Amino acid sequence: MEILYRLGSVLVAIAVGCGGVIGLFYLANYAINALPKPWNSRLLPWVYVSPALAILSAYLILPTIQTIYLSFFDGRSQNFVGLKNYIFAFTDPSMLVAFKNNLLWLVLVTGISVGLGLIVAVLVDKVRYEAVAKSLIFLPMSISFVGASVIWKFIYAYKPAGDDQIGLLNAIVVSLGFEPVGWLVERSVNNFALIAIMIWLYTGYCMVILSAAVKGIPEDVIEAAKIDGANSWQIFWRITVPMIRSTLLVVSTTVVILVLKVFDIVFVMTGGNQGTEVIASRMIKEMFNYRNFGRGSAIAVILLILIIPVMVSNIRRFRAQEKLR
Amino acid sequence: MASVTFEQVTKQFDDFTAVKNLNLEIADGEFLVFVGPSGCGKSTSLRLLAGLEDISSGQISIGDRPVNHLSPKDRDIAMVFQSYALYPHMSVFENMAFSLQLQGLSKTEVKKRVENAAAQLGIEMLLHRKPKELSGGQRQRVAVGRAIVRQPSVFLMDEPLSNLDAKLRVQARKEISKLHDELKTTFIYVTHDQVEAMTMGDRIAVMKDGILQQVDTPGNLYNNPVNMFVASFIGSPAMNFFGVEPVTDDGKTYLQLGQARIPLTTKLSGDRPITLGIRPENIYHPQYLPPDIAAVEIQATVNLIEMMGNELIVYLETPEKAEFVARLDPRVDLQSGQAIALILDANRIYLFDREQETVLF
Repeated sequence: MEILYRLGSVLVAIAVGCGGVIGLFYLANYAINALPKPWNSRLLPWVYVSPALAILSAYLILPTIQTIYLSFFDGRSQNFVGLKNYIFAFTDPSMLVAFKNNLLWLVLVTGISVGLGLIVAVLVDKVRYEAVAKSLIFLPMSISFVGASVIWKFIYAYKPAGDDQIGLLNAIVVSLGFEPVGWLVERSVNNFALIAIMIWLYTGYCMVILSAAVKGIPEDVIEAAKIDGANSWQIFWRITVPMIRSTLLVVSTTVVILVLKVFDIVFVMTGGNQGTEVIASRMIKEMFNYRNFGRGSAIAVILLILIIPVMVSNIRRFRAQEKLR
Repeated sequence: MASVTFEQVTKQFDDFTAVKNLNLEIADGEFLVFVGPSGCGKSTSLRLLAGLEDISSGQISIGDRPVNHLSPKDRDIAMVFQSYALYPHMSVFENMAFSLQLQGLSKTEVKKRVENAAAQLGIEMLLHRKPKELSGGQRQRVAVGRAIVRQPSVFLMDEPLSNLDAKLRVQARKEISKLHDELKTTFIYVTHDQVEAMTMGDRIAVMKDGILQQVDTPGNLYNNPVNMFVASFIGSPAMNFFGVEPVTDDGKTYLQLGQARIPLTTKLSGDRPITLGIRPENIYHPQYLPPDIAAVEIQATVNLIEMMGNELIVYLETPEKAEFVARLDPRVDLQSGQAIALILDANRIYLFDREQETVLF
């Protein structure tokens, strides 16, 4: 009986929800059509986009304004503290570690995943089993950050010397006669170990997009370069790379944005301990572990400001590319 | 400057033979045109020579140097592509300078050579532009310019004019011929357009189904085709073909074409089926006959008339329903459906073995 009742209320909710939206549109449409001539055609598009705009502002713009507002208040959002939270964000030692690590992430993840993706895209272009090779490299892309972290936790697993090593890397290291390494606690390697996970995840993405761009280069341009006397290396640097330059930039900026937002890998693997903190994980900690809304919001605003220029350049380039088509 | 030799060259793609046993010698400084319908192997032959495809068997030499195993850059050739294949991210200057820079020439030398080539082609004012800012005709010139700055010993051109409109094509044709006269280098040119072939080539190599049919001067190809394919491919409208029967009457041999009898001057060996070929321009209206022809009258019905101004292209059929085309004096007044008598010039007929499709004499 209970289940039927629930089902009934679900159906009613769907009917009311959909019907309400449809009714709203009809009503608005009717009202607009009743208006005098020049106005109805001008206002009509706005009537149709206004629900989307309303939802977007409710879920994106308002929280953004709220966050900016909170960032100027103390931990309990009661007293105005001016730039104190921002000063904290740029001077606190734990924050400086996070900034330093994020820079390392930015350079290594973007450089290596785009670079490897490009190399694979160009090489795979000449391989017989191209589809299989590409699928294998693209596969990690379908795994979530948390899922990937769990997989890599096993790869990096550490047992004290003398015990059986269940981690792939340490098993190899020990079988070669070395001491096992605490990949995630050793400060000299743990950041690189985390960065490797993201590279593994995103090389496939870079490769797929770049491979499409490489395939877009007309075959006879490459042949012309061969006849002009260019070797494979010169063709790569002087023809292929410049011709896919805009795609390279779009892929790089997309990865940059993803890296700036990275948090899950660090959260699952190390919880930000042993000097592996990044900006986003620091933000989560301040906000939800320490319940310091002011500091958490300030870090969020800094992240937002860092991402905006990359976003803008990405959108601009995308538009320019669209124009060329 | 160099001659080019194909010896027994074959190119096999999986289960398709693109070029079969090609033997061809191209003299130093010659302008040779490969012509044929699409898929005949003409472009493949050029790509084999360029080194863009590996040959399956045989040998290609440039000068007296076998080039089978040399990469394109070591063959001392330059190529103009149908799509022009300009580097879109480089300016015209950089496009033309690319090969010279790769050769390691000094900046001043590169600049000098690019500017000379640009002046020769009349594209000096375009040097700073990108390919996408150029018209089709300008791109074509840049593609030619990129080839000539290298001063190669052989120029290869793969349908370089087919993306131009008709008027530009005529002009570009003349320019390429002029360029050949100036450079005096070996040119090898691929086209499917027999007008380009006839007007530009010193010699023309006609190909079909990967097999070289005939190599000869334009005049000889037109006057002495070795088989029905060459006969029909060269000349527009194409040569007419009729199935004819040899008959002997009163000790003389004739070819029976419907009601008409064409006297034979040469003796036919054996009695194989014969196809008679005659070009549309060797069929006349009785009112406008040139002197010195061996007139044979033929009956026909007019199907369609195309008035070209300087000539009439008339599509007709014989009472036996064999269709043919005649190129008549424009003063002739004809209506479609009209029955007329036309005159063939029996001196200008071609006889082919109907099964082998080869010329008989």
